Amino acid sequence: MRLPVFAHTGPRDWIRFLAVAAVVLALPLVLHDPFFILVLQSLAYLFIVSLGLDILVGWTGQISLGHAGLYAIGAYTSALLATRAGWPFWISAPAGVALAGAAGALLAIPSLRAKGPYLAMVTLAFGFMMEVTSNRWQGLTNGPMGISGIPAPTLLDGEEMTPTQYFWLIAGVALLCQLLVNNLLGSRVGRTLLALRGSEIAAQTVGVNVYRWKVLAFVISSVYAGLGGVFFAHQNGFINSDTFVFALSVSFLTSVLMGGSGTLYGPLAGSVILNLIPTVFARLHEYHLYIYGGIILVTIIFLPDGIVGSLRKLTLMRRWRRMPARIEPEAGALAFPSAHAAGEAMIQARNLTRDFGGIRALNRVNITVRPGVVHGLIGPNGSGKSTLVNVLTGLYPPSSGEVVMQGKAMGRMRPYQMAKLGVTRTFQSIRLFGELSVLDHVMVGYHLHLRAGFWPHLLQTASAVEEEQLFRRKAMALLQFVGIAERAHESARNLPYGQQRLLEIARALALQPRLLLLDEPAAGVNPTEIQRLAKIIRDIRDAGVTQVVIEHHMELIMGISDVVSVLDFGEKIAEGTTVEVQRDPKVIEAYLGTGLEAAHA
Amino acid sequence: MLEVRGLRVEYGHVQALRGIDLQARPREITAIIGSNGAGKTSTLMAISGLAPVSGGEVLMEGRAITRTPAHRVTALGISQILEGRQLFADQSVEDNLLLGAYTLLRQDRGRVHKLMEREMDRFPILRKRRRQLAGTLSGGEQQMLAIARGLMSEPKLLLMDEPSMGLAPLVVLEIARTIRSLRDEGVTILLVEQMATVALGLADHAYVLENGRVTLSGPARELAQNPEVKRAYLGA
Amino acid sequence: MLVKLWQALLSGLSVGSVYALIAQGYYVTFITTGALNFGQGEFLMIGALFGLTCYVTLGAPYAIAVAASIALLSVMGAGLERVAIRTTLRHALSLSWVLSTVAVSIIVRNAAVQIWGPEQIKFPSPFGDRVLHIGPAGIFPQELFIIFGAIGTVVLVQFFLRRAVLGKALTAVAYNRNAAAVMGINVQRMVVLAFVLSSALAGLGGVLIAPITFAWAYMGTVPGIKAFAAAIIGGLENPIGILIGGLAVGVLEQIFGIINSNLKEGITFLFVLLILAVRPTGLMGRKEIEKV
Repeated sequence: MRLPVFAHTGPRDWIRFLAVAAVVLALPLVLHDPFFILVLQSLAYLFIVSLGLDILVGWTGQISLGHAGLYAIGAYTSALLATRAGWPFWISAPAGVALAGAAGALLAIPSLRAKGPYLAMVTLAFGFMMEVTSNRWQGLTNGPMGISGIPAPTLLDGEEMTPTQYFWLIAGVALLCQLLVNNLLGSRVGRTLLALRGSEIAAQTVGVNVYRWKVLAFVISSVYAGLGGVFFAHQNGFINSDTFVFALSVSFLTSVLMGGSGTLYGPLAGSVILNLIPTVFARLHEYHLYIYGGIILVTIIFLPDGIVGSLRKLTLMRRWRRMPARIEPEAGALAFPSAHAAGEAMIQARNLTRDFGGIRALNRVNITVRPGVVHGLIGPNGSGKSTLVNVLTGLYPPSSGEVVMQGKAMGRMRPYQMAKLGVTRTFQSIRLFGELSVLDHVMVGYHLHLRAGFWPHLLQTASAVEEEQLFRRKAMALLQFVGIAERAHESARNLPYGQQRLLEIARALALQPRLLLLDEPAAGVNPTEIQRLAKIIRDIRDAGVTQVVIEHHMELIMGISDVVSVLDFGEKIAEGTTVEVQRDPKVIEAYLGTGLEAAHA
Repeated sequence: MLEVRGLRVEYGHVQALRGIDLQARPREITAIIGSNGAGKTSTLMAISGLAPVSGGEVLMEGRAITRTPAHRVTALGISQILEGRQLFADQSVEDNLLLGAYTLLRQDRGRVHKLMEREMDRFPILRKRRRQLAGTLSGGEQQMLAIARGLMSEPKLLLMDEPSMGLAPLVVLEIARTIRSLRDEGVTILLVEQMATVALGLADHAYVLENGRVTLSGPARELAQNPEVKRAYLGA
Repeated sequence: MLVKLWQALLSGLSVGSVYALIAQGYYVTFITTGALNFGQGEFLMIGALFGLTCYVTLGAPYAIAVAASIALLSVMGAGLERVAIRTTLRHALSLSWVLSTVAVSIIVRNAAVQIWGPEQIKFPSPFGDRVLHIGPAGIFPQELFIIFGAIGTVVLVQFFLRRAVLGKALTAVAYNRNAAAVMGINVQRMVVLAFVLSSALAGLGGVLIAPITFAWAYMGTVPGIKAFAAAIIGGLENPIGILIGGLAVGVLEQIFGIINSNLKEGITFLFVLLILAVRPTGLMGRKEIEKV
């Protein structure tokens, strides 16, 4: 039973999903107390907000302290259009959702580079701005007096929906929202977001444009918040500024964390439990806030993974998880058609200088890397090798001088733009994507080669699913090539150090690079693995990929390099074949120490 | 002076040290050499209480000090000079020295001032720069300040992490001379160094670390002649 | 118009110096732990109400009331560190301290409502209500006292951090934890000290400002958040930036208040968003270069 959309969802998942849907939708029929139905409606739309918030919190690691503001935009837009312009729900509601989404896109701009408390301030400030707007801009919102007479949605025959029907609408949309979120987060989109959360820099080096993906996460999250707000406005028929306050943002955030951020069903658990508490403790009104504050504290301190997250940890320990299906490696994944390049130089550093504060890390360095070679880069710690790689890959702009790629001056290129040109790298201090599996790391490496974008993955079209399977087989082949295929489904974090380095190479190879820069690939790797590493580097060269290798391990670097450049104090002091370099007196003095005699003097 | 038995360190799932045995004998320089990522720094950090020890023990003068918090280790007479110097760059040279003697400050201020004079006699350039912010010193001066700061607590054992890092050959020589004279003053030194030639030239005894394990050890002069060591670390 | 501007400048400086005082508390804990107390405003409110109890109900001199508030808040600061900070700093979600301190603030506010009730209470100024004239504009003596008291305290805090041994140790922990630990400095104790200091500043802010705003359980949230915005605008790790940020926010609000009182409430937040879009670590914050 494969559909053209939702192609990823198997019959077993459908049955489970439909069963849950049937139970949820039947609830108001079983207990048709009006108050109960009202509570059910609220739970359903608050759940939608939590679901969206979790995309930010759980999947991109950003906290939002201003979701009440987005919720307000949805609610006010739809309410105003319905009451003042007389628009029907079916038009005013999408307008509210769209405006919330647009606000989210704007909000992403200051969030892009801000970190820690600065990032918290962005959403906080936005939330307060909306709070002030709803309270003070009385011409628009009527402040605390509010807007009343917001109509309930109508049916086709023009009749207003009954509370039960309205619940069905909200719950139906909520179920669909959960389905779409499952699609997204189980696909390339979730993988890329998690990768960004794990390491923005590493994600950039395989071509991920951080800005676009952050905007995407903010927009989805805001659309969900707006949707919740719309449903809220049309449920009560009345909204005023008392609702859209900081405390509401806190409660959204709490429900996500309580349920378990980054788990598919955490938002459901969290929003249901948290929002039932006031109902349950209605009699303890005076102590309500103590209980509420206490619950937040207890959740944060003792259940940092939330309810669902903690349960999942338990089940993982018991190995109840379904074993993933075997993936057959695709033949020919190591052929890089674009790799072979003509010309004199793959990449050139021309008079590159880079300063940090008062310290000159690179001083007028000229290096030409010829196509198809392994170019060794050696020098003492602190001699500027990593800085050179950082400048070549666009991570730092040069202070002066330029990087020339196949005859073209690069100007100010970002790492993801260099990746598009086929330049990628590994890192001296390993940069993996947090909890992502080994296989998924390589899948992120294929970022630029995957055709199916947001919409196909949202709907899980058959072609998106097929493409995903093809690339999984290719990824498997790369893992096999570096020799860690048997650990494909493990969390990359659990790999030993040496294998993590190999995984970084596999991830970089997925880009199908023309130029690969390896920053100390042998650091912390044991002697047998170093043998394998040497072979891997040679094989990559034979596949036509140009490589620059920083390494301290003399035996390795002398064994694999066609050319070696030596840096000392940010300057190139020697260059040539391995034999030439080893004989150079300047190199012996600088790199190999000042000599035993000197130290004994 | 210091003995380490079966020391293991893990960061999450990554094993940095897989059971290390070593000794630092009194009034000697003991060197640890090895490539980046071999576990040299982790060894020092485990001794000084900055790295999470998952097994084995550390004995200082026969007393177990395994997993003692870093600030108490200092009070036991162990001082560490961290990799890359790690000065308090936004504080003055004088303040850096003062903080080096933090454990003594409560008891004996006069002594601290004498110690400060002693260190500024050892490195006269520091006296000249005493009011300057540490971050404005040159690389060599920073390393001197780092050593002086480490000596302000009057340690019996000095742990030095890559004192040659990023320094010009002549400055490395000067630092090497200082290290030797410290030994002659009676300080026990455990030296981690990437420049194997320098380390083996200075040390009395040395250990080679690979992949979190000790692969070779012995008198430094002998190790310097060892063909394995020559090939891997001396570039010959 | 000019008179109005002059008046706005004076009132702005007095409100702004309280922002700067609170924000200085954010600075101290941020540099040592990377975290700060989102309930700083509630701590300010406790300072005001507790000061009120001492000063009005118990009839103690104003100076004693100030000292008592500072003492109470110091204890609360240590408690906050233990309950909401130490427990959350190592979490995977790097900002869980935001929620844990918000949770504490919710509890504190509810307690204040139960103890002092939800109404606004007048806090008589010890300096009387006679308006002083500086140029064409009037100012309450309390407002002048706030300006001098708050800015003086900020200077004192900086003096402590730069000159006292304990302050130097705190600065060292802020700059480099590991290096400070190998000097023999007990890092954990310095973190507690940072939160004690930060909370004490909030308490002082409360007793200073209450005579011009009334004291009540809901007085703290907005100034707390605005002070946070001021710190972000100036740059959280730059004490001078924070001082200027605090004063600027205070004055900015009053000036926009001339145009429209509604604009006054929102302008700070709009301003901070614009600044973060351009300068992600504030106007005078350190530019961060991620080491690779």
